[in-house]
Amino acid sequence: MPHDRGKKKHAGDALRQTTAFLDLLKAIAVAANEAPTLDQAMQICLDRVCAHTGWPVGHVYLHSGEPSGKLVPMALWHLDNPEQFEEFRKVTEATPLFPGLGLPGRVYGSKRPLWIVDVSKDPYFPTGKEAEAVGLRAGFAVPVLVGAEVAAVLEFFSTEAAEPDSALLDIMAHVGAQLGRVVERQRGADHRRELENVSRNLEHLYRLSTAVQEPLSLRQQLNRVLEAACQVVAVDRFYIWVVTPDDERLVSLATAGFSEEEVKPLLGVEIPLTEAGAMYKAYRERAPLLFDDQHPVPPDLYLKPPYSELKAIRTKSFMVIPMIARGRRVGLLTGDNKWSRRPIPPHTVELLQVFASHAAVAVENARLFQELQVRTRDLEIASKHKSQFLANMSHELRTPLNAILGYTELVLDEIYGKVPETIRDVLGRVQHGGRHLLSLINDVLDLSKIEAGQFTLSLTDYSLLDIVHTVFAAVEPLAAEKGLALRVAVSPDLPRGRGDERRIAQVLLNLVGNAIKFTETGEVKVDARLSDGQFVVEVSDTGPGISLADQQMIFEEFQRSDSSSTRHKGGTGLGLSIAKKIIELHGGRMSVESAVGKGSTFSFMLPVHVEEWVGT
Amino acid sequence: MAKRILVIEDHEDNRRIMRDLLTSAGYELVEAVTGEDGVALAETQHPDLILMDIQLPGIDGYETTRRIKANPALRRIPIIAVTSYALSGDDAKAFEAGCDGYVAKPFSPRELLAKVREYVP
Repeated sequence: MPHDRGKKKHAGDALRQTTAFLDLLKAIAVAANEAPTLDQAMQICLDRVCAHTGWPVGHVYLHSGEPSGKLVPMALWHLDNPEQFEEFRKVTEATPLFPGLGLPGRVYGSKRPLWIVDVSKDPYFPTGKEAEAVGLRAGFAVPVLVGAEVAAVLEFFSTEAAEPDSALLDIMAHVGAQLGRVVERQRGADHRRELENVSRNLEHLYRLSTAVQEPLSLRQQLNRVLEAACQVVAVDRFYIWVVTPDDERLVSLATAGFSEEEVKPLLGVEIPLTEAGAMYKAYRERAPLLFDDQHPVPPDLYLKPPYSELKAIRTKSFMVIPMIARGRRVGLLTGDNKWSRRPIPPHTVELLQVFASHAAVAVENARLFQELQVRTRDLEIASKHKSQFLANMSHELRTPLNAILGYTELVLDEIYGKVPETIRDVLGRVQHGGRHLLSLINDVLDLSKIEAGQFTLSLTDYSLLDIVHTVFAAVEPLAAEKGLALRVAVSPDLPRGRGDERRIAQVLLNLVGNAIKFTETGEVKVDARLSDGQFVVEVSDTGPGISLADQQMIFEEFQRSDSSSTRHKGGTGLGLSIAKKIIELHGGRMSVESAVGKGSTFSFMLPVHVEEWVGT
Repeated sequence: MAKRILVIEDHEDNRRIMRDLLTSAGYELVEAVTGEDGVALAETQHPDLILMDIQLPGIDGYETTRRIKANPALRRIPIIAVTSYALSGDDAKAFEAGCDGYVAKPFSPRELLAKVREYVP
């Protein structure tokens, strides 16, 4: 029967034990649901478990969140007799643990509760000596699980060695799960708050970044940045100092939170950078500075006199943030709590750095914009001067050339008497060279006028057929000299056009002249017709052709087809570019079709009637 | 009797080329270097044709033309503007001022002679 009695006793114990467990679980569940913070929930848990087990010491390690699995000792304890365990507490709080070490380290690894019979004899218990010294023996620990992640570990110690109590460990697993839910809930709340914060800040920053892109004055933009900063952080006043272009002085450009009276002495104030104390230091070191009653400004960082007399900016709680954009220091954002004298928390400075960089971008953009404007204006002036110079220059060059060509022609026409054949030949070369020089000068002049916007069309009625004939009359000798056939196909019923007859003839002369110049055998053909209400003129040759790459370039100024066979042909390379521009001034288009070895076809389309507004 | 041509031109070489060209073609030449002198010579010499440079010291060719055309006694004398190609719109301005013809500079003597013959054969 002892056996039976034993059973009964066991049953009674089990019942009591179960009831006690249920009480414990219930108390912890209530605490988990109602405790306002995780710390409080864990404290209740420590107290309840210690009360339930009669063990004098309970403590919490928190997972740091680091990938190493570092566990951080919390200042959360249940201590029946704090004085007795004082040494153990100190050592424990100074001992972070890693997976595998101590009770919590091993629980972290296995994610299961663990029991140690006597910690003073356990080789993997780093604070075993201290535990022994204060009389601690048995210990167990239980993970606080959030999903599969160990968020914290609760550890408990007894003053006596004890064998594992598996029922207790089971119940403790439940306790860990309960606390896990608290952690989860807390994180949700934190997360929500954080999200709300982030989204509020993002909204401000978004408004700022759009403001920075708006065509506002720099001062307006900086004011917006400061207004936004005022709404996000609890700082009484802000001011923005911009560094002058010579890097020598700070100029106050925007303020927020100042009364009008306070602002007055600050308006337009310039402080030499080296006299600016803490501001100079922050600028030099590209790092923010924060001062308050606990961390006062050292005397060597005071503003130097007379600027130290600026009472409005003398204060104890203040911060200085360098404004840096694309690596350039452009100024300083400063803020203070002069009136409230609250210290400015470091995370506020962190947040304000974002505002400072927005302000910096605004300042830098304004600087770049101004630089760009100045440079554009300089370039425009330089370009005008260049065009004017070229126009004057070519005009001056033409005057003596006029004399050379004039006298040469008079001599050749034997105004001054009979010219021997040998001299005639040489003078013919002088004349040829002079005419070439003249055409070069004319090209440069035309282009400079086009660039200077002084190239105007003299509109008259013209006959395209007449133009073609005029051009042919001019180039016939050249074509005959090279043995090239000149063919022309002009539709018989072309209407009269309106445009700059002389310039259109110049274009056609250029195209036909080029075709003859570059073609050694075969023919040059001009085709003129009406298509879709426009004149279409095509000049085709049986020359060497132009590669696709060269076709892209030949209409550019000073470019010519780069094949060596064309190198010796002479010319400025301006003719085609000018021809194209003349056609475009008429509202037309010019293009080329060619392939190496297949000849080239240059064509232009020209409105039949060009109106006065075109080309102005 | 040889036809008389007044050349108003400040540039010595241009004047000489015109002189050599036109005298050898049988014309009689009168020359002025400034617009004011040109007007005075036109009044005293009554030429059959005037070749007018436009860029002149003092009053320019347009103004000189206007003054000559303003004189009823001289109004019938044809004036050919010899203008620089460099200045666009010169031709239109020359006609506006009262010129009857137009030759672009630099001119070919042969072409100038052809133009002159249109007015004074």
